[in-house]
Amino acid sequence: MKPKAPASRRSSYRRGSRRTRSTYLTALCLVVAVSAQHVAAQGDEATGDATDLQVLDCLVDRALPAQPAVAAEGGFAFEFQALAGTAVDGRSCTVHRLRNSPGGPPTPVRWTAGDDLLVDKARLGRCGDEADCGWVEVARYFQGGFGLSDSTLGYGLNADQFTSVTDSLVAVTEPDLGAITASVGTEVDTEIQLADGSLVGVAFTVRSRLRREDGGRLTLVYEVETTTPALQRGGRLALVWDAIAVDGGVAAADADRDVPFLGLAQFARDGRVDIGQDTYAIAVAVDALEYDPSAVISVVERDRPSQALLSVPMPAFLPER
Amino acid sequence: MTVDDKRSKGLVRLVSRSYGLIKKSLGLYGTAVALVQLAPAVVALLVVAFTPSALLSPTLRRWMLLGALIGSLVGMLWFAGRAGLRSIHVVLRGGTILRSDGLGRLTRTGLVTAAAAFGLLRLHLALVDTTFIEQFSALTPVFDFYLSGRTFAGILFNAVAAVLTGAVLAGVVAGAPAALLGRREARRRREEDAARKGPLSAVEEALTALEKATKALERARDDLALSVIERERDAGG
Repeated sequence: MKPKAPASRRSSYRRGSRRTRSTYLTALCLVVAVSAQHVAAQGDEATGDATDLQVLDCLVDRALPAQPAVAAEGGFAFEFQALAGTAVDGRSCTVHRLRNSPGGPPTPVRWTAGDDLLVDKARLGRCGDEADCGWVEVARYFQGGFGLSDSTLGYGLNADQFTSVTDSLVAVTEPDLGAITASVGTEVDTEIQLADGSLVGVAFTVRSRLRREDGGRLTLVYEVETTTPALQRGGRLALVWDAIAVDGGVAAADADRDVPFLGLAQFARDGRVDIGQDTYAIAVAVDALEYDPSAVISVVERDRPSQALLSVPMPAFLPER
Repeated sequence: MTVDDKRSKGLVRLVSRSYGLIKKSLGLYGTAVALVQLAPAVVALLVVAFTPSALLSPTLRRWMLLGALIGSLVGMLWFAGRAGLRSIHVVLRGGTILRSDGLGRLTRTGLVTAAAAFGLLRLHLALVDTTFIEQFSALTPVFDFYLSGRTFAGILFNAVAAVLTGAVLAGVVAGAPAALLGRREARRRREEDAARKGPLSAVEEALTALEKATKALERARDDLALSVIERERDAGG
């Protein structure tokens, strides 16, 4: 049993306890403040709010994760990140980006959120150093918002040898089908390796637009804008957009080499073509329309239309069937 | 030779024999220790051999499952053909068919095919293993080709794996039952021979074996006597 302290000392303890209590309180406040800051920092790290980043035409508000994360298993290693914010034209936007790690092996990657495709890249090529390892950037511009969703990164052999499950930011497109104009678009900036081993830088924006003209006439426009020579007239690359293509474009390998879209469906073939400096657009007059939010566009070599080098989501307004 | 001499020679012989035994047991112990030390490495190699990382791909597993099913079917037909399925009516009528040669060949061919296909399959699966490719960098172009993400490359890799899996299964499904059936037939033939020769044939076989054993023991006794004489001569010299 501990002996009791003398009364004088007990009073000194009491006097001291006020000081001690205030010290404890100050320390406690400090601990709470530091913890709160730490938790907030962790939250920022996880969700990455309010960044000054602009990727393609997307002004980034949120990044998930705040710094690019690394998926590494079985000798493969690459970085990935989902971003979301407001496009320069005021619509919503999301960006999904990937890049191989320096010295990493060629890596087929498929990034999905449930049944929705985010990015399917035939391979993230080898790269020597940080500067050499370019991002595969896929930006989507749309009316609507974005939400959190589970996503799965499959990579390695058959793009499903290894999987990494992660939260991601996904687009929730809500175009106003009754408006005078509406538009959804996808922009891609990446490097693609062709069958002969050559690397081609590819940058393009694809849009699906609807336009109501005077008198209520409804026109759907399918448009690609690119400065990439391989995607322009006579180029080696083409696009297969499943919303406006038949047979996935496979049957159209020897089609007109000036058309950037392969295997066009009849309604698109019947449309009016407008060719600009860096644009190719097909305008189709329709009576009524519907919206396909799950359509996908793929970059292919014209001579190998069945082998997609890159597939990304590209919703489309379509004539009502 | 005095009694002391005899005693000392006996002692020397005892010490020499003990030393020999200790040396022998130490040798055995050393070998055992070396083998035990190697055991984890052997287990690790077996694990690596039977669980290639490529098998983590569900797409590849589906292809290999298809190959295994087709290979098993081929193996069954192969075995049935060699096991005399076409002569089943002879057996059903109570007759016998000669098939031991065919079964022996099928056992050898089937199991060798299975072993070779397994080796090739393991090598094939290793071609997309980053660790393996780091060790054998000459195979990097093959790795790059298979992981190019192209549909053709993917289908080719999966198809080769499926064919090799099929070959393994065909070999095992045909070869293993052929080996068992061959053994059974050989045993039955021996029993038939014994029955044909009558009850004395077993006694005769036992006598022959005993004769052989007696000769072996005599040879051992002679060798032992010679070695004792030589040792005494060495000790005396």
